[in-house]
Amino acid sequence: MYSFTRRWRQCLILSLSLSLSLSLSLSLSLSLSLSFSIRLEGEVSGVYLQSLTCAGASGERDSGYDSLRRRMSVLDRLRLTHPVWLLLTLSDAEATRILLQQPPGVFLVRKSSTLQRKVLSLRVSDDDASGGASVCDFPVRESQYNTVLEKAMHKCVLKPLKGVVEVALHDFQVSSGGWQQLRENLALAKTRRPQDLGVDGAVPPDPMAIEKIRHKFHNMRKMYSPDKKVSLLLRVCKLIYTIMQDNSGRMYGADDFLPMLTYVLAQCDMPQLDTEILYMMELLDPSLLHGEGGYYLTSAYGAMALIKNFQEEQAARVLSSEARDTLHQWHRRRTAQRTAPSVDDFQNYLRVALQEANSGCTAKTLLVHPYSTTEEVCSLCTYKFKVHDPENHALFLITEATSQQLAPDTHPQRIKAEIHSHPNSQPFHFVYRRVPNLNLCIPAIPANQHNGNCLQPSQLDD
Amino acid sequence: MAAGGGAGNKTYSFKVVLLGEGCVGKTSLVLRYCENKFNDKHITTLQASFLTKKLNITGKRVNLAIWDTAGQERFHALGPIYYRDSNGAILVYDITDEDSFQKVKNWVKELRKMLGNEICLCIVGNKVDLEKERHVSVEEAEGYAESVGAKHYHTSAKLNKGIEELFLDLCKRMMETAQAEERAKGNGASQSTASRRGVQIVDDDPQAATAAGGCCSSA
Repeated sequence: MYSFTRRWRQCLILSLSLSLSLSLSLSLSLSLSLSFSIRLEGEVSGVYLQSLTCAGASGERDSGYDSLRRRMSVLDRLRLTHPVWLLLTLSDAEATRILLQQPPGVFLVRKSSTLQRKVLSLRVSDDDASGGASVCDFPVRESQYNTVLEKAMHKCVLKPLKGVVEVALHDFQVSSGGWQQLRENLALAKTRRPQDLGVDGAVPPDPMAIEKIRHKFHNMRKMYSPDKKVSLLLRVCKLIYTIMQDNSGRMYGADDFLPMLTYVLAQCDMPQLDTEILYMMELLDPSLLHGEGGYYLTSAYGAMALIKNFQEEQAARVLSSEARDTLHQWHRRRTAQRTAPSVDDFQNYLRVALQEANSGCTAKTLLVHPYSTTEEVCSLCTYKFKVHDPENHALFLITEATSQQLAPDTHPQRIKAEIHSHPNSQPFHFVYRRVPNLNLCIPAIPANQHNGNCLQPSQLDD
Repeated sequence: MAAGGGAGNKTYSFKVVLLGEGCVGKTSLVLRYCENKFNDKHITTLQASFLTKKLNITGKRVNLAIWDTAGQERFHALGPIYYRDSNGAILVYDITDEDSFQKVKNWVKELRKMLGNEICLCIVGNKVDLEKERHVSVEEAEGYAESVGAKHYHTSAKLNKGIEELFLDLCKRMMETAQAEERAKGNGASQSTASRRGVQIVDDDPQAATAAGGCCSSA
């Protein structure tokens, strides 16, 4: 028998991990989600599970019920007893009927059809009964985000994997050439004055402050929890703001802050920060991405992207298409309802199908670097698909309505990135196949078939 | 992205992005709007890059997160990472600066292209206290806003004019959009909007619950 006393003050979160049936589906991104926690709205301040001392002839039975309370935690008692009180299918009337036969303090949890949510129905003593009702309903608030459980999951899952994830992210950067590029551009950006990075007026942190910030970033790298990392990032931002403000007294918006952050990150000269930012962006709970943490994480990502493309920035001042592609993929992963990412989503892979006249299509996933040309991809295809007459084959970009042969000097990964970075991009495929008869200019072929144009990446811009 | 609890007790959470050239007064505008309600939960309180505001509109709770962006041309390319998933955008120009109005037009084009019609656009002519130096005509600005499905507002951050109205109106429009979206989705399925990831702890099927009277039969 379980009862609980009520207190009419503040409301308390009851992190009932009701009947945890763990359905573990560890996805590649190692993300965590907790389906729900329970919060009682209203005025219940604590739930006490105890054997009922007022149970009629108390003392007559020495059943061990009393000592049970001392041996088990509240959570365990809840977990083990939920079949008794978690009766979601009960109707209002049934619940009332059952509870009225019980002493005050007995409760059950059910789904209320009128409120369209779970409620905790409690038998109250007749003295307490407000307006004559002997059974009170307390709506249960279910939230997607539960700090306690999320933290626990980080500890169980992320902590042991942190080292592995870091090494993998780093190796990936090194092999893609991104690491080298970042280091070079960071070194270059570090030599620039604040004004060169867009700082206008506000006073930048001095070398001592920069050292302090570097120290904070070093501490950040040791942490496994994305939440804690983000809170350190926020402290760095706060410090930057304080310095800007101390020197002027005014408040700053993004016009001043973003250039300053870029300058600070350049001065810190820590290429490892790039993986830190990725780690946070991948693992922070999506519900936090819209908040303050999400905002400053976005700013740090932006500042780092500017530094990464520092040399190109001078000329083009655009985010490289690869960066856009990465972002696009990230965004899809983190915010859309998604299924597991396909291998094709990973940057250095390209899915190519071999189309044969009589045997249909066979597809392979090939390792293709961003700077590999179509010519190189073709020779890889020749080898992988064991094609005997490569001179008659070429790589095509096929969409629903078009089919275009790619010129030997184009870069398939860049083309893929371009297409991905556009909204509502149509499905497309890279197909390695026999070049149709060379009389391409004869318009006898239906419009939806081979139009034989060689596609330059720039043509995809519109 | 409306999020909420149960029926009738909904809390809307909206993200609003602020766009516009440097010096048009984006920051002052949002500071004015939020100045009395700094949220001391935020570590970076008292800064104007990211601000939040809680409102109560016709009995519905609304949480606004306002994302400022850097307006200088060199940061233009970073726009998408800020305006992604926004429910609304406030595009600010300076009525004394024709160039800044041109910039607004560019943003409108980009936002419509990238986000379609789901995003509520507000075009804001700021600094109306400098009416004498106006270089963007009212007719032109309002006509343009109408032609692109945006609302136009005149504000002065200096005189605290028109700002409250701007945000209130925007919130109402975002609520309408969110409600229309819900209706389109069909009620009841509201929970599925949140993305579920990785490890999930699932509430056990209640059928295991013991039958009638089980809640307290043991005494």
